[in-house]
Amino acid sequence: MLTISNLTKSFGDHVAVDGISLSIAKGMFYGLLGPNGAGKTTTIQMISSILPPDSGKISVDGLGVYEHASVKMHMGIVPQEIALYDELTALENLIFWGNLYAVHGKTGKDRAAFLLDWVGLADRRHDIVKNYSGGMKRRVNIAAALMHDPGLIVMDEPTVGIDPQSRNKIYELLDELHHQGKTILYTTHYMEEAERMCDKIGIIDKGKIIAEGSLDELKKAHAQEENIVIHFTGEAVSKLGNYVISFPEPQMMTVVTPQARKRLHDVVQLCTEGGIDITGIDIHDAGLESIFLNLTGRQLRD
Amino acid sequence: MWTIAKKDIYIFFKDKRGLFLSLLLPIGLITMFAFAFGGIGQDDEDPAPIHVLYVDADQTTSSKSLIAMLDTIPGIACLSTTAEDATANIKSGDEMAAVVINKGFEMALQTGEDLPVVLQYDQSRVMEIGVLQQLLTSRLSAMKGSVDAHRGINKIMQQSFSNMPPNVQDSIRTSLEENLLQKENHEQLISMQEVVGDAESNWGLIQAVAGTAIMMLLFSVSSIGKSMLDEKESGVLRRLLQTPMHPYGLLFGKMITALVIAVFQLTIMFLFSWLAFGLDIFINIPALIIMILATSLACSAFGVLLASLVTTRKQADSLSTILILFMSAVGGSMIPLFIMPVFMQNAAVVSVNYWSIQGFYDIFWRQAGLEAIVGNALVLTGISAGVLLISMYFYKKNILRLI
Repeated sequence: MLTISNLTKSFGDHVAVDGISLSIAKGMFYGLLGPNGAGKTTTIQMISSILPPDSGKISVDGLGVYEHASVKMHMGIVPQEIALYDELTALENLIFWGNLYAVHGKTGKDRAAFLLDWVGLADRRHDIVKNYSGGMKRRVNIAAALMHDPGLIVMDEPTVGIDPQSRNKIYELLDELHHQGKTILYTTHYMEEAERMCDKIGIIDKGKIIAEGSLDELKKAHAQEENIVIHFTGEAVSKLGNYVISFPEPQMMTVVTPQARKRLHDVVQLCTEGGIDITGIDIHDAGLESIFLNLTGRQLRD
Repeated sequence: MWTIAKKDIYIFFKDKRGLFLSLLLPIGLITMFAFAFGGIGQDDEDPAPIHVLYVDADQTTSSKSLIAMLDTIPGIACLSTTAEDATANIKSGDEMAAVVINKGFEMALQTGEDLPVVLQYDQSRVMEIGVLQQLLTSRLSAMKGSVDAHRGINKIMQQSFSNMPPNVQDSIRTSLEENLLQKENHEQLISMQEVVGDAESNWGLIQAVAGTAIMMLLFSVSSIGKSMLDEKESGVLRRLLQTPMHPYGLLFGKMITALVIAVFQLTIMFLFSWLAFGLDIFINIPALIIMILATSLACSAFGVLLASLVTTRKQADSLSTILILFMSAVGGSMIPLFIMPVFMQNAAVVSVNYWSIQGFYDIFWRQAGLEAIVGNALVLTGISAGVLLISMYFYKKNILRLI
């Protein structure tokens, strides 16, 4: 459905997107996972044809997005910002965005009412968006992109800055869209989201896709290491021998290493020498976090 | 484009309080300027007179006669004072002028010597002083002429008719006086005829309505243009550009919105002027409609230009305030053009305000036909086209450049 080949974009000396190629089949939920500044939003902007690439080609069902304006009718873009009119109600907002995609009159009103019901805001549809919570605005933001019932939905970090409850509600909506057979390109820097929802994940860093595949494929290909997760009290250390360490939470340290069980004794000894007061230890399989750490030497949240 | 316009017009009229305030401010200013320029609210009463101090050191019949003559001039009230107080009051700004009649005034009048009359004044009131000087000079000339005429009559009577009987002399003298002194009333030397304007019209009211309405209109439409920058800053513009809408659809959508709101606002302003001040807006309906449309078009184009020239809302706020106030001042919205120096009157043609105000003057004051305002309307339409082209260039350069 969506094919991108050798896409590049630079801003001055900074290469934001560096030769990205990917292919998303119809009905696939594709996650583009990377830290802030990796090039995700720039890629989305090029796909949505508002930022022309320096080189490369983007096509939807074989039609170039810059050559065929009609492609826009098949794409629904959910931007990272809450791009709605605060002065309008949720219903009015959806009708307006639908009008821009030639969804007019009763069809538009019915579709808007249906989508607001679908996102759980039917009873608030006549309230102006300004009075909505962040999570409610996010849901309307998604609904606005679906007014013309697009086959391809491109979402740029649609869960940024909202509470876990609202996030879960959005996950449910996305699962439903996935089951409806929509093709979804989803960017995020939350590994949990990618692990939970995506059929295929592309890990992007410094403008390049450094790994791609399903979660299992990525684990097989890149996760030779396991995670030793250490819970502790007191001060953290900045270094632990030659091990790669990270601190996902304040009193939690992750040590990424192959053959974790064999090296456990060594790790505990180093912790003791470093003055770390260990309160608990677990050994986990590698997830996307450790795959990313393994590939880049940095954490996703860096 | 139409979807954008429809949405913006809906938002404008949806906010009832905002709508009320957007009309209240121009109505308030029009009312204030109507009182200032048009004499609205004075009914048939005479305006407050200008006080002129006088110091009569001569205390003769002639000096008192001069003061009496000045005091009878409409709009002038003479107040007696001392020489010291006169100077002090002028210096303090409490009074603008004093006529000082020194001793020997009557004697000088009789002998034909220079008259010992001094007009003390405040230089900042130079325009009023000019009028006062002329009035004083004309009254003194009249008095001097009268004295000279009597002297001439006496001389003629003595030289030519002294041997006549007294009753014949009296008859001749009366006849001579009637012939030589009958034209003393200067005001009746010329007759006055109004060519433009009549008792019903009020140029000050027209100035207040047209000038203020256009200035406030520029502020209103500039805020509509500036909403593009809000949309850019909130990310809505990015989303709009992701839709099938043409990139220039937003610019033209804002222009249509501004045009509709401008027509609405101008219409309300003229209706208010008709209802509140009795401005005869029905004098030439087709001409009025054309001028309202042309003015609204030019102001709308100017509104989107202001937003296109800058990249942030803050910049737009500063720039629009400066440009609108400058254009309104130069174009005659704040001060009637005829008060300004010639070079400023010439410079006024660069502003939308000038062409609009002149067009409305043509309709309401000169009561000219449709053909008289066609030129103004065409110039305004030309300005709109030119400004819109410039706006399109800067819109692409500043607004559409998202990163």
